[in-house]
Amino acid sequence: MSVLSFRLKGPLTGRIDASPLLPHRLAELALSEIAALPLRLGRGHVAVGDLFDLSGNPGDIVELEGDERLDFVGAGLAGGIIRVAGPVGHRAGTGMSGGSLLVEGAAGLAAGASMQGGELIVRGDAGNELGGALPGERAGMTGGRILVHGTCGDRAGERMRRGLIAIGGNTGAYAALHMNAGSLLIGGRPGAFIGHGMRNGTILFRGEIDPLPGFADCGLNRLPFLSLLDNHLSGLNEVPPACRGLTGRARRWLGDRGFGGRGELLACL
Amino acid sequence: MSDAYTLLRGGRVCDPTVSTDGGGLRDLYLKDGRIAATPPQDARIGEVVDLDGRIVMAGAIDIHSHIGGGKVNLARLLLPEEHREHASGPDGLRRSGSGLFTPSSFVTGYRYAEMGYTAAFEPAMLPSNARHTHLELADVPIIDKGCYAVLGNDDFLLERLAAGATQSEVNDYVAWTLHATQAVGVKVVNPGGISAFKFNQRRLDLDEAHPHYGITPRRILTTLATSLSDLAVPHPLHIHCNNLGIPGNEAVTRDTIAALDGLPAHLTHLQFHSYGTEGDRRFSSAAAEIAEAVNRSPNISVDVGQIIFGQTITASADIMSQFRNSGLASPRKWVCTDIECDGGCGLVPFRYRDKAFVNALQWAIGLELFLLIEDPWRVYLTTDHPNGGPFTSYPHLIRLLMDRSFRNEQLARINPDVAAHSRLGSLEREYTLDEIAIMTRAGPARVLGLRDRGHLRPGAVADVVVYDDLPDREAMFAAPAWVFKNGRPVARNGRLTATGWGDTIVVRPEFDPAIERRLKPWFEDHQTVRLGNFRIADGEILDHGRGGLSIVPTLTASDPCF
Repeated sequence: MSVLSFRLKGPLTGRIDASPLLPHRLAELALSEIAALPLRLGRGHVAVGDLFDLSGNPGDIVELEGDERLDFVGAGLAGGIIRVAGPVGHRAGTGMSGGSLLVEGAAGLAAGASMQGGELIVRGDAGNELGGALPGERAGMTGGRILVHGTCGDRAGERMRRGLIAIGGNTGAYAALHMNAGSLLIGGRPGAFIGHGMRNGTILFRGEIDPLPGFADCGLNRLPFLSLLDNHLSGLNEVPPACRGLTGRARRWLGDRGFGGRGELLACL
Repeated sequence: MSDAYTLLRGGRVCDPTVSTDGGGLRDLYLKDGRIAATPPQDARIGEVVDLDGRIVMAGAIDIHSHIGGGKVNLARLLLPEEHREHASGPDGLRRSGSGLFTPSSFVTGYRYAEMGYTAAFEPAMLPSNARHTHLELADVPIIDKGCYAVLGNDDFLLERLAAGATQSEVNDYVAWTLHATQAVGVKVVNPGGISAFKFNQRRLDLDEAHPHYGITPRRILTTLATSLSDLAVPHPLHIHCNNLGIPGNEAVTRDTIAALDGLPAHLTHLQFHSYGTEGDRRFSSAAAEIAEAVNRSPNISVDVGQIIFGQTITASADIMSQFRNSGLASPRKWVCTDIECDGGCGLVPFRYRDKAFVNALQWAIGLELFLLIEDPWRVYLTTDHPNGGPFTSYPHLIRLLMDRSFRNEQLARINPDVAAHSRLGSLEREYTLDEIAIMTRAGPARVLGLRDRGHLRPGAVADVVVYDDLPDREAMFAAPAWVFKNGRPVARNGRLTATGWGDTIVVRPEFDPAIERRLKPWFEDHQTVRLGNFRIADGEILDHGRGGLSIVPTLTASDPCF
């Protein structure tokens, strides 16, 4: 498989829109054409070749040197692989529908928002609105997988419809806000107001929480589905270890009843 | 001021306000932002533009387009995805902007100018939102703009009417409002209905008493129409009739025309008010009946509010109809809100579908109205932007009116039941260029009292549009060869070449300032701002020379009555 590498020439002078650097868009181009592509930089544009040293051959894989000012990395990705050595800025992998985006560092705001398919892996921490909804959209994530090894900010999985989000570390407030369906796994400590307004879907975590008053306590349950889920996770790459081993018994809450919801919070023992 | 003339040489001038001698080629001289009479032989000619027989018209005027103010801004907030998808960056000439059917203020001005429109009127400025509206319109570049103040559901007027106020007191209040809000006309939206909605009424007919104040829409309508006539305001009452969008509302529309009893009035987005209840679906076209009523009433002018298939958002002060339609929202989100207890506001995103019977029939009803109302001086081209569709669809609409075969092609594509339920297929009329010039320029200018706009006689503001005479009228009107605003070229082949600032058009009828003695305590007791802060000063519009004010003279006895 051919790999195309982008190495930063120096520190960035502003925020860059890196959304054009998608493997399937670049595969047809020669290196010189790629170097001439304009990238948005603040109010103006800058050529790819002015920011990056290019090497390798255009194909299925793009390797990027990361920077927290590179925004929209992998946004709209439909196939192929992007590997980022280092952090990325905001909205990495927003609206992606296929392929794989691997971020070895941290991700900024709204990573994987409105995602429809594919796989987003963040080895560092993720910011607010991970796998959430873009402003104005009635649905957030509608498919695919987001696997975060570190912690994440507020409102992870907002308005989620389908798919899986697994977070190895702690989450901020309002995880799974207005969730409609899908699964959210939290390996660390869940933040406040978890599941507010959820109508359906499943949130799994460990430890004690004090759920919102809209959640009805259904007591301790033995849930065979947990081992099926764990079995499924064992077949996937890069699942945070803290999200594994969810078998056996769980305390279950149903809600958010304030919104007529039947979603579940599962505190796994 | 310069002493050089700009010469537009050899154009086919299409100005319906002057009798032409067979449409020969003419030269047009521009000087100091005005059209000039043919200068003496030795006059200095600066720039010469060879028009090579292209068609020349005055700048177009949009009489009814929601382009600024509270509800437009709410519409933008409701649909951020529209702005995400349609964004443009700055390019040295333009500022950045976004949006398609609720464009940001700068984009609004650029798109209008590129289409050859040089003036647009925001039809629903609630007095309590007036400052916001003017601030927003101050950021609409190039074009001239004006606003109609919305009255007729405000508690002050309703309470005074219920208490038996005299006509002259109402006149003073109307004139005071025009001054205080820097408006050019008065619009009444669902007279009494918006207020009645707050008392749990969901429908209000012309002679149905308001549940709290006990007065009827008929009384509100005739009082306001009489006011504007007494005050000699050129633009007559701008009426959004009761029961918008309800099948069978044609009766209330015809009753409204009858109730006016010869008083001048403008009925807006008439398409939404021309529905019958015949047929299996209890929804039919009453365009023929309404058009006949309009044809018989020379005191009435109308704009159509044509719908265009596709996604848009309906934005209206008519909270009664918007709340009723909120279940039809697509995408499924909507806003209805009260504004300062003085009016209402409803925003319902909507997608007009050509395969849906109701939407397709609405499309046909609009076109029937255009084609059945005989006098182009009294029917104006609008889509009630953004309610029927964005103003950028005007070129498409012009082609529908001018090209019968194109129209019938479109008719064949939409829901097949519509052709059977509508007379549209049998209507042979095709608008001529002269008639288009009337309905988009001279007509609106006349009904708004803009004496120096909408025509190309010497003395007129030099808003000039030059079109290539293309057989495809949509392409022709979408990208004029040249657009001049105040004598300066601003667009070439449909692309902006320069930018600038237009005037705010206002009207200032005389009135007795004693009305403020009644208004002052009202403001102190019920409003969020005091009377003195409510009034918009000229300086706020002029903004150190960035904006301009253009005052429309009131009518005099020598003016031909509308």
